[in-house]
Amino acid sequence: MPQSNPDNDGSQPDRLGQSNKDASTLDAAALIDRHSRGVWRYLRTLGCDDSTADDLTQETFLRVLRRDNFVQHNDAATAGYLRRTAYNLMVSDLRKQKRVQYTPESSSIDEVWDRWNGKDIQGDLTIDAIKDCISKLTQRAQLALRLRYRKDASRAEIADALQITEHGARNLMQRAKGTLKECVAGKLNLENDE
Amino acid sequence: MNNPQEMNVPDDPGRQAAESADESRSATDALLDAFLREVISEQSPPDLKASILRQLRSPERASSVATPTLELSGSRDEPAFYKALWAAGATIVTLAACLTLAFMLTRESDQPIAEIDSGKQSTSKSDPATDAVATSNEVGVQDVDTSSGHPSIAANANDANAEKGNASAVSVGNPPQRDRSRGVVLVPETEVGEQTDSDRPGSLKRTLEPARPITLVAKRLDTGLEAYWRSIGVEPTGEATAERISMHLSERLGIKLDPSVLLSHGTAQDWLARPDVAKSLSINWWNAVSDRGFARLEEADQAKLISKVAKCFETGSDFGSLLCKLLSGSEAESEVFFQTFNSGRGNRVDGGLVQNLAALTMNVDLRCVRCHDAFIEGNHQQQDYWNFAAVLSSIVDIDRGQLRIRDADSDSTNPTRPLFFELPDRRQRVATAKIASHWIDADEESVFRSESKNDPPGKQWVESLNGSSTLARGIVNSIWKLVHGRPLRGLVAHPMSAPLSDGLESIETELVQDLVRSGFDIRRTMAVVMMSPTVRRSVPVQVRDVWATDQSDAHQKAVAFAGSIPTSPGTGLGKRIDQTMLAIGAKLSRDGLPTLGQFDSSSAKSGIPAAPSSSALSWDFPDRADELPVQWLSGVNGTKAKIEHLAYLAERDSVPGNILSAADAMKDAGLDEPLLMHRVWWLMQSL
Repeated sequence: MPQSNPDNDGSQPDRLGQSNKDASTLDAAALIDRHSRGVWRYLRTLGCDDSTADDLTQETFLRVLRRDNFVQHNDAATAGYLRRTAYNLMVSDLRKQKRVQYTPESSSIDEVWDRWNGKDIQGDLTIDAIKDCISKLTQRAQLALRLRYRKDASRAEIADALQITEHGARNLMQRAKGTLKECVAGKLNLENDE
Repeated sequence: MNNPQEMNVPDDPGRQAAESADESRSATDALLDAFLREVISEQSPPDLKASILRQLRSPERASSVATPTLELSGSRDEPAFYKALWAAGATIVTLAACLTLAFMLTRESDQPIAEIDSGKQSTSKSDPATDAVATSNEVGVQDVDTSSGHPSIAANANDANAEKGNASAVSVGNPPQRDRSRGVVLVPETEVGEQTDSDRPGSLKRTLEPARPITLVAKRLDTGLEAYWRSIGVEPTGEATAERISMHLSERLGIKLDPSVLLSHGTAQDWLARPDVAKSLSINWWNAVSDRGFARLEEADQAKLISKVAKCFETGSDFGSLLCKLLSGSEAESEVFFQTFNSGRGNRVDGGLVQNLAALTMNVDLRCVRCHDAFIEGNHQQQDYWNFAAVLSSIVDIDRGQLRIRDADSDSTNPTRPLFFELPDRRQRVATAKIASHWIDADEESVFRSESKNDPPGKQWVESLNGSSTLARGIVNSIWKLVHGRPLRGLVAHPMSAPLSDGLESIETELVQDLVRSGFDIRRTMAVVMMSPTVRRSVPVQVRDVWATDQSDAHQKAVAFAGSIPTSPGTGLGKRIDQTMLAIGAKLSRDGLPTLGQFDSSSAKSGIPAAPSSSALSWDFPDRADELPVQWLSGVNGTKAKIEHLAYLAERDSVPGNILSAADAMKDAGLDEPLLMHRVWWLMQSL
């Protein structure tokens, strides 16, 4: 599906010339409602902290909304375009700060994003699936994850809390995440198969 | 696949993991991590719609704001109402710009309004109306103080003491004068992705983005510090009382500070602008950056330098520009300026002059590389030290300890001599006047255009510094040192340096960018640092452990600015020597020889030296130590060499004789090496 090219500012976007949908005008608010959570989550996936994700999400929408030549073909194309813009903004921000941040390549992130989120461009279904799958983990696994993600506890602290070795704590979390991955993938596939 | 039953995750710690220890961040892991964090820490995506729409409708963006509608296909018809609204907004901004220009022309100012262009070289003079439109053409989001809900649109042109962070659409504060004939290129922000690294000559680039509201900067600093502490696993101490905070700041700044000063950044800046406060800050700042060199100047010379810096605190004028003028040798006070940093008595640029100026102008710590390549950080070399000394040698000449500024005329009879230095293997090498690329964030070493007497490397270096983030970095760390006693990002080899990480560098970058955007307004930076969470921390409970070992909770909090350290009572070396000897039951005689067996009246009968009472020892006297003050000291052979390295770390050129004697006495008394070295380090910290 041809999409507008966010890397080539000022260039004419690709236009299908026809659309399966009726031509209509979307206001900016609807666009933000429809896509902002996805963009924010995408930036967090790239490694941005909360405040950076907030800033860059806003900047992404402002840039897109200020373009005269942006044409929306469908939700998926728009979401992809927004993610690409957000990615470029993040890179630009890191360059400005002379920082190096290691993230997986954007193409592989996009691939995984599309696979996991599919038609749910915001990631809400994935979040729901994770919530459900977490509840099915053992208490110890849940505790380890809570310590890790809520308290930013180190492996040593988690091991201490669970009275296991650090190696054991690492294994516990790895297995928990692996199990979650399988569970979430299963749920989403079920959703897609319905 | 989806097992409805509870999923058991065996957690047998004794089981060897057969699964791969894949610590790398695959895309799936990254996504899962992000979503897990959101779910578990309940950090849902914020609702940014209102903020985005508000910024979108901001009137000063009239010429660049697209109509906030999107069409699936075909052209758009912009309602006439929106056109009228944008026209009205543009008119209002233009009028405001004209008023601002009229006001500024009536003020004594030698600094033109900076022009922000959208991709082309700008000139130093401009039409304010063009400025307003050009500013609105600037690509990039104008930061909004989301707490107030109002974008910063009004030019601040009323009061020099007023909030400079609000100056945005028209003025960017007081930008420094740029000599465009030197070809210093301003590389403005353009569209995302257009700029490449080759377009950014590192320190030559200066962003002309307007300063963000100070409250936003402070908020980002708060957030950054919290994230930093989390990332290094340190829990900050609780908040101290307002009285204690003001007392601590009063001690550090050398002037009484009432708690009411810290009510807001505005009140803090107003206080900093007072002449008496500005003068006190100036004195303390000079002492902090010159390693006691300032105190050795004549009173009249001190007064000249004090007034220069005090003026910057009072008026918020461009501090970077002042430093560059002093560095260039063109100011009347330049010679005194350089003399402040010169601690040597030799015939060349070396020692304190090189180290102090490297720290002040580039936040580069050269204590470890005068004699050999750095072993710790790995990115400083002995050659870099001497190359920088060669750069400075093109500005100043030193003869038998007497310093003078070079000029073209005198240089014809006394040209710059080649600067030789000795390698660790005793071979001689000549220095080349250049600056290491990683000092100034450049892609390549800064090789200067020429080395002619009219265009010496030192002058070119100073030009490249002017308005740069490199210079801002040095200044920010000097301000931080003034408030906290040590720089924000210090030498990795120093026992009291904060752990270096991306988080710490982000905090530094935030302050650096703000200083550049504000036109090098150090009063503003000072206010931000004074009000930061680091100043508000209480003292760790086990404060003595701050010094004993670097594994204690108190030490880790203290070095990371997560806990305050009481200011030292200012004990001189003599008293510290006495305490050190008292602790081992000895005393140094007048000729510096130790005498064991110090008896007091109560122990005279028994003949057993009495243990010193705790009150006789300073609170920070190291009474126990598990490890050396710094781990790298274990790689230095011999006690004497270790002590010498501690002296260099303490910014001393050599080890004072009485410290050596005290060390010998401690060794004879059977102290173990870690404790001995801690006490030697404590002695080195004396005034």
